[in-house]
This record gives sequence, C-alpha cells and structure tokens, in this order.
Amino acid sequence: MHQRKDRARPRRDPVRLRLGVLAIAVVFMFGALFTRLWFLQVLSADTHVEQAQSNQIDVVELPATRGRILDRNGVVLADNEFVSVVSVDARAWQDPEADRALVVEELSRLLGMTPAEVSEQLDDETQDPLVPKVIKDDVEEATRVLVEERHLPGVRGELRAVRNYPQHDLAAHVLGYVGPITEDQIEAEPERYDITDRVGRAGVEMLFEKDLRGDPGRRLLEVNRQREVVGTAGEDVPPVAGEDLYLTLDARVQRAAEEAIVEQLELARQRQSEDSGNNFPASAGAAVVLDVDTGDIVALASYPDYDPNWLIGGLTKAQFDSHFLDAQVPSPLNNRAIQGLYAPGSTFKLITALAGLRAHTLDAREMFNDEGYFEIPDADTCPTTVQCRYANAREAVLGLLDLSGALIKSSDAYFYRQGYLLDRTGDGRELQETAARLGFGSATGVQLPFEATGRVPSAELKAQLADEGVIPDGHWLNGDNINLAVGQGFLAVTPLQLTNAYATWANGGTKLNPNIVDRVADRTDGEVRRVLDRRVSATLEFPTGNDVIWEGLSYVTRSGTAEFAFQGYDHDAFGVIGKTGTAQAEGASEVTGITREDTAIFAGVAPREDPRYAVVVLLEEAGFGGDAAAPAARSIFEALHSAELEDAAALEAESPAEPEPTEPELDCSATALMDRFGQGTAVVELGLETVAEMVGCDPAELGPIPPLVPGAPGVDLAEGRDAPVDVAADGTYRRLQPATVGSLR
Amino acid sequence: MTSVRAPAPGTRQRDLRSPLRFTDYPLMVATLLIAAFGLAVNYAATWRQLEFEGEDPAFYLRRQAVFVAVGVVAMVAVAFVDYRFYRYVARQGYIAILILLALVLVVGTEVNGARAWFSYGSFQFQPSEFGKVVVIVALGAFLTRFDGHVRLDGFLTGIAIVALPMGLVFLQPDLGTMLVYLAILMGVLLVAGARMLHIGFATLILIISVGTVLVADEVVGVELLNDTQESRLTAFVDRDSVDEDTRFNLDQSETAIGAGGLTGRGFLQGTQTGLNWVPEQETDFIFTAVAEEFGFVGAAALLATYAFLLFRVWLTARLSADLFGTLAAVGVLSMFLFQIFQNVGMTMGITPVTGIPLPFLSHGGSSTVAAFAAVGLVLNVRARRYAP
Repeated sequence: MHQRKDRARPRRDPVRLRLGVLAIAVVFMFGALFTRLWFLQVLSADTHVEQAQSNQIDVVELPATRGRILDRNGVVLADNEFVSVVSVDARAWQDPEADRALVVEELSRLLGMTPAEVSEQLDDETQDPLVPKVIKDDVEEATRVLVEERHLPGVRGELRAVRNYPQHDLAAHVLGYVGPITEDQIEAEPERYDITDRVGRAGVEMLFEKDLRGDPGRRLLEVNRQREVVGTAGEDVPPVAGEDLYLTLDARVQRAAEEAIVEQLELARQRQSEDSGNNFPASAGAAVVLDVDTGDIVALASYPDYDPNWLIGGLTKAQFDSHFLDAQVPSPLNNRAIQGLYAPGSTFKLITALAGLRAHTLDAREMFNDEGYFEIPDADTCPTTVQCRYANAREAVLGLLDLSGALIKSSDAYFYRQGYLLDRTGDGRELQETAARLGFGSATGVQLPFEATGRVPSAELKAQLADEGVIPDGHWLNGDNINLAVGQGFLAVTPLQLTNAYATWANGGTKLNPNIVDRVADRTDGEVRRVLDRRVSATLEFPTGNDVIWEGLSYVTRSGTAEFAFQGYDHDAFGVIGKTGTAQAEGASEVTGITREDTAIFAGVAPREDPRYAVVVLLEEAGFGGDAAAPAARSIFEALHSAELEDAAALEAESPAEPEPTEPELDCSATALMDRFGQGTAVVELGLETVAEMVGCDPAELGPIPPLVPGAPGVDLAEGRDAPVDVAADGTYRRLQPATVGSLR
Repeated sequence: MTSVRAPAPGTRQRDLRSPLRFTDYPLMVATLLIAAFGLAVNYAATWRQLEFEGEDPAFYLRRQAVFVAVGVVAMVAVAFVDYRFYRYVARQGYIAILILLALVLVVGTEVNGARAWFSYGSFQFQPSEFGKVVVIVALGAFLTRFDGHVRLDGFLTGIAIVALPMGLVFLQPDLGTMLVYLAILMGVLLVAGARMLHIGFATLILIISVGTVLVADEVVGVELLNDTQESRLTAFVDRDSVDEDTRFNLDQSETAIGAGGLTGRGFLQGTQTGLNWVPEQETDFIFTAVAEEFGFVGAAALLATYAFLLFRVWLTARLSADLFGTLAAVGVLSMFLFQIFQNVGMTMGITPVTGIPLPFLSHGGSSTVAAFAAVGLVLNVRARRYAP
C-alpha cells in the first residue's frame, strides 16, 4: 500500500489525465461503430437482405415448349425441335478487352468460324443487348459440350427449342409463323413477355398464341460476382408446355388443294388469252373447302405460299428479297383465301337467282330467249351517256332458256335482265339484301387474323365511294345492278365468303361462322381442353323455285360450262353441284403490268344427293373458270371422296373383334418355376423335377438352377402362406417350418 | 517432525514479483479468442469460391493458421525479454526498419499498386507492419526522457522520428499504413506529455496540409494523390464522388453487413462474402464476413472483445511501472484503436476507404505476426510492473 501511494507521484498526474482522454476517444469511436452496426444490421436489414439475394440469384427462364399444331387427324403441321446454341454474355466479362480476345479466339477455333465472324456476332446490334448474343445456332451437340467444358467467360452452350414446320409450305397461311415479338405486345403483357420472345405473327400461331404458348418455368441460379454459376438456389419451377391445337384441316385435302392450284396455274400459263393474245400469267390462286354442316374448314389454300421455317430465325435481306419480292410470285404472305378480294363473276348468279325468286322478278320455269345481249328497255332510264346494252361473252347467242338452263349455260343476258328487274322492283335492294344475308360484305368470323370484309355495291356504297374520291360519279344506275347480277362491278368477295355462301345454300340455310380450329388439347395426355363449337350466325329460308337452281347447277359439271373439266368424273359416287365463273378483273396485272386477264372461278358442293362439302377454287389471271378453276375443283372433290373412303376403310379395319388373346407360352426354366412357386416349394419340398411335371413341363427343359437366397419365401402349400427357406452354410436347403405337401392347384 | 518453514524472504519476494504472476492473462485470452475466430472467418469468407475453382477450400484457413502460430511464438518471444531492454536497442531497431523500408522501395514486389513487400517464393514480408511496433518502441524510448513534459524540440523530434518511416511508407504508396503511423504518433505524443498548444498547432497544420493535398492538383497542379486515392478518402462523406468500382464495393460491403441482420445468415452461409460480391473479403473487408454470417450479435460480440482487449492494453498503460511502459502500451493502443475503427468503419461506409488490416482477423502474415508482437510488448510491460 505504501508502495502504491509512493508511485502516485504528482508528476505522473498529467499522464493519467491524458490516458483518460484516450479512454474517452476509445469509447467514442466504439460507440460510433456500434451505432452504425445497429443501423445497418437491425434497422435496415430487410433491404440489404433483398439486395444480397438479388445479387446472388440469377433467374433463368425455362422456356415452355410451344404447343403443336395438328390437322384433324393428328398430322403434325407445327412442332418444335431442339437446337444447340452457343451464346456469349458480355456482361460477365471482368476485363472486357482480354476476355473478348480470349472468347473470340477460342470460339472461332471451337466453332470453326473466323475470328471476324465471331466478332461480328458479338457486335450484332439486331440482337437484344440485355441477353446473351447468339454466336452460332444449330451447332453439333458434341461441340456444344466442348464449349461448355471450356468455361470461357460469359460463354454458354445450351439447348433451345425452335419452332419447326415439318410439312413446310403445307397450309402455311393457316399456320402463320413465329417471329420476334413486337414492342406493343410486350407493353400489353409485360409480365408475360420479354424482348427475346418469339410469338405467333400470323395465322393460328398468332390468334391462338395464348393456348400455344404455355407458361415458362424458372430456374434460380446462384452466381458469384464474376457471374459464374456456382450452384442452384431452390427448386426449379418447371415450365408448363403449351396446348396442342387441332385444326379442322385435313392435311390430305389441303395438300390436294394446294397441288391442284399449282397444277392448273401451270397449265393456264401454257394457254393463250383470247383477249390479249398473250399467255395467261396465272400467278396466284386460292381454294377453300368447307364442311357445310359444321362450318369446319377442311382446306384453305393460297398461292403463292412460303415455308414458315424461313421466317423463324429472321431472314437476311437477300433471303427476303428472293422469297418475297419476286415479281413473278406476288405477295406470298397474303392469305388470298381470306384477304384476297375478287369479283366472283358468274358464280354469283346463284345469289341473283335466289334474289329473283324471292322478289318474284323471276319465274323458274319461264323461258327467256338469250339473243346474246340484254338491252335496257326504257329509254328514260337509259340516256345516251350511259351503257344500255350488256352483251354475253363474245356475244354468244344461247337461245331459249329457263333458270336451270341459264345456270347450266351461264347466260349473262338472263341475269343482266334479273339485275335490271331487281333494281326496278320494290326498293330495288333485294339483290344486295340476299347477298348480305349469305354473308357477303362482312367478315365470316373465321379464327384467322386480317380477314377482309369485301363489299356489296349499293346506292349508298357508290355515293360513299364518290365522296371519298374513289370514283368520279356517285349516281346509282341500273347498270350497276346489272353488273352486280353477274358478279362484276364494285362487288368484291373473298374466296372464303363465296365458299360459305355456297355452303349455306347447300345445307338448307344454316349460315355458320367457319371454324379453322377444332379443339385445344393437352399435349401430354391428349385430354381435350376446349372444343370450338360450330357457330350458327343465321338461319335462312330459300324461296320456292330453289329446286330449279339446284337442278341447273347439278348439270353444270355434266353438260354445262364445266362439262369438259369433269369428263370421266364419277358423278354417281360423288356428284358435284357447282358453277363456273370467269370474272373480269380491274386494273393492271402485278405480274405483267398490262390489263389483267380474267379470274377463273369454280364454286360447288358435293355429293349431289346430300352435300357435305363446299369448294371454291379461284385462279387469278388464268382465263375461263371452266378451263382452269373447274379442273382444280375436280381434283379437290376427288381428294375429298378418296379421303372419305380411306377413313371409312380405316374405321372398318378398326372395328372387327380384337384377335383372341393367345395363351402365353409356358416357361419351363428353373428360374421361372422358382419364381412362380417360391424357391422353398420348388427346390426344397418337392424338387424341381416334380414341380415341372405337375405343371406340364418336361423336366429336361429346366436348364441351370440359379443360386438360392436364404430366407426367400416359398409357398406353404398347406396353408397358402409364404414360408422362408433356410440355406445352410454347406449349401443344403430346408424349410424353416415343416409343411405338408398338397396339391399344386 | 515436519515443520512448515516459511520460505526465505528473498524467495518469496522473487515469487511475488515474477512476470508470470502478473502476466495479463485476460488480454492473452482475448487475443487468442479473436485470432481463433479469425481462422473460422478466413475459412467462411473463401471456401465457397475456392471450392468452385477446384482449389482446396481450406487454403486460406491453413495459411492463416500458420501465421497465427508464428504470431503466438512472436508474442511469447517479445514478452520474454524484459521490455526495458528494448529501450536500449530502440535506436538500432529504428535504423534497421528505416533501411528495410527504403530497401523495399527498390527491390520490393508491387501488389495492388503498392511496393510494400519483400517476396521470396511464396513467402512475403511487409516491413511497414513490423515497422509500426518498432516505431512505437523508438518513439516511446525517445519521449520517456522528457518525463511527462515534452518541450517543443522534443515534440518536433518525436514527429520526425515517426515522419521518416511514414514518408517511406507514403512512397510505396500505402496510405492506410501511413495513417496508422500517424495515429501512433498522436496517441503517444498526447500521453507523453506534449503541450496542448503544440498538439493543437500540429493538428491545425495537419488539417491544412490534408486540405491542401486534396485540392493541390486543382489549385497548383501538383498531384500528390491521384483522383482515385482522393475520392476514396472522401468517399464516406460523399459516396457519389467515388469511382464506380469503389462505390460498388462499398455498396456490396454494406449489403453484406446489413444482410446479416440481427443473428446472421449462419456460419458458411454468407453469399455476399462467400460468392465474391464483397471485394477483399478475406483481408481488408473481412469484417463483412463476420457481420453477414454472425449478424449483429456476432459482430457486436467481436467489437466488444476488441474493446475488452483495448481496455486491457489501456490498463497496462495505466499500471506500467515506468513511463516507457506506459508509452509503449499507448502506442499499441493507438495502433489497434485506429486500425479497428478505420477498418470496421470503412466496411460500414463511415470512414475513408484505405487498406488497413483488421488485427488478428484479416488474412496476412506480416500484419498478424506484428499484431501478436504488439500484444507481446504490452504483456511484457504489464508482467514486469513489479519486476526489479
């Protein structure tokens, strides 16, 4: 104590004091650290935890497999294939220059590209900067694995599902195609899509995008700061595959329709036009086959067409130019069956006839003398400034005709007169109203995008067109209705509209909205998710005298304008009721640049007794309907008939009683017997030979005896229970429990 | 028959004064605890990335274990020789360290832009770390002679003693270590009895010169510190002024600490530090690994242990038998205090960004061994408070 006191000399006091100052500094500084620590770890921990997780975890989208598109019988029209893709994510580069040099050098070696090509892909600005750039797609699987194993910075080799159209151009316009998403689509559903997505851009691919797409899954990857994947974080959310789409199309009929168009266009190109003396350009066409009872579209063809596979990866300019800007192959992306607008020509006489019967301007059996032309009788309504005389093609004189004959011979004069009379009867709108009731001038409502509505000329429409400056004079004249009566003038219809009108007439007046999709089904179990019902849009009644139209049209293919085309056709088996049409087209040809040649048309239904199908074939600039369109239609009807026969035969082959199940052959091997009766019974109790004889086997067939397993069960024959086998060390066996040998039955 | 005889007075006297008897075991235990914890954290901060790269996940753990072992030997060795002896070899040690610091500028290896290491194969030696301890002894030895009343000449000489090695460290350049020297100087001068007027004036000059350095390049066109160095020094005031890398690193560091929350994400579960998101996670930013995996509870416990360690060093300074012992302890106290405050503060964004190791935790041979040696010095002073 004394000593301590001694040490506390006054001169050390300043040292103690200053040590106190130091202590205060310590307390102050540690206080600051604790405070900050409390703030970071307790008060603002939540945001930091979130931040750490978003650092650590990279969300990778697992793309959903797009649903397939199939025809009504399950023929696959659109599918997916997996291709190996090598991509580079430049964001993962630590040292951009060095890493880039390394990646370019290594990838050019591994992928067999020049360094310049790799560089070009890396700098490809058409690819989204936020996602890895694709350096090469469709690489060999072995190459992909090689690239993965090299662990180059930011480089990945992965499998990607790519749309594939195995039937190539078959039904291309119906299918549409898949292409890069548009910004509008992303904006509409930002949580569903991102910039790299490919979506349906036309056809059912576009309209049924929601069904086909499925839901992408997610994989959570744990990454380090260098963006190297060090592991996964939690379970994958697996993608849900898109639904399969079954179309109403029958691939067989579709193919026949497409081939018929091509064939007849080629033949037409070898014929000379009487109007111009040139060969017909015959560059385009369309065909539609409708099931008249359901509105199902069995075939819908448009030519020129394209292979949707071309459009998947995007096209180079050269590819685009050669596929889509060839003057001889006008507008291949247009689906002419629903977007093309044409004058239907004489095929429209069906509508004129129905209107005439309804307005009583026409007596079906009244005879009319076709002198080769029709002249407006009333001088007042026909001033000298307008056309008063309307002639048949080549002023052909067809003589005395009733309605039936007028249809068979396709008398223009007969229907010119009807056009004139209908314009002067009542409010003069019967022809327009009949056309509207049969669906002209409005969309059919088929589930395909960009359908055209067409137009039916009337006083209002003409006035409106004049207002818009399309035509100089908006006055409605008798002549307008006269032209309309033979399917000319301002009338514009799509092939599908025309088909649907004939289908409505053929089924007795039920107007349906055509269906292109039959059902949506689950891809894995085939379970039907949704059936697209037939949609009745109106029910019509046809006037008395309709049977005469029926009669007339049924002779067209036998003794009328299509007689030549249908020579040798089996009219009894699958008789065709139809009408040819040869329509003058307005304007200059896309192909030749001079006045368009006539459009060849055929519209018809079959079979004659109870029509099930309506068919329209329309060939641009191909001449007479009877020469060009009717033969194509004939091919389609034949294909329909043979498809029906084929289906019936297949049904018959399926239905007979299943073959008797044959008795399974008796297996007499030792192994089989031991399996069947248990090794205890077979080996220990009875001996294999005995067992073999009891079940009717030849003991010589036993073969080698497998080693026994201690404790394996045998059947206790007395009680039917399992009883274990004891295998002794010396290899002998015995049952653990004594059992009575009974019958093996 | 047997009688218990009292020991001879001399013997008893010697026993009472034995250094072993007065060894500061709590300080020793605190030091070893922190170092052992440091091994675990070294492992936690690096295993994941090492494993991913196909290396031995315990690579850093093994190395640090060797450093700690060598450090313990150094601590015992420094404590073994009577500290008063160091007074007499302070001058030689000081000159030796000056030579080493000069030499390292010539033949040293440059790492991260600083020429601070002698390397021989995989063995590296950083003289500036050991220099801190040597300077503490040299400065203490010099200032002791003033017996608590340092006049201006002593004051300036004291500054010069530290300024010389500091200048050499500045040339490496290693700003962080330089600041540690400065902290030692200020602490020791204060307790040694420098006049408040001198201290105040020196501090003023320091502030003015720091300000000058920061604006020198703009005003007079002399660039003493490059922009990156400058912005790092001011980052805790103005986070936006700093370069993108440093800002990213600071954000990641704070995220790592914050993500630990109250109780941490669990040992070996840290992703910010385990997956390299925090830079230098086994050296300068090792505190983030502690905070992320052990949370506020763990980090605060670590800080509390450090505080306890500092308290024991402070107590030694208070209880030292002589002024030299006091000043040696104060030097060590100042050094540790500054390093801990600066390092931990940097990871939390409240102090400038400079590379200073966290004693006993940061991975590194020289810094670990030097820290142990410093503790050895303090143990020495305390143990010999009654030694003749």
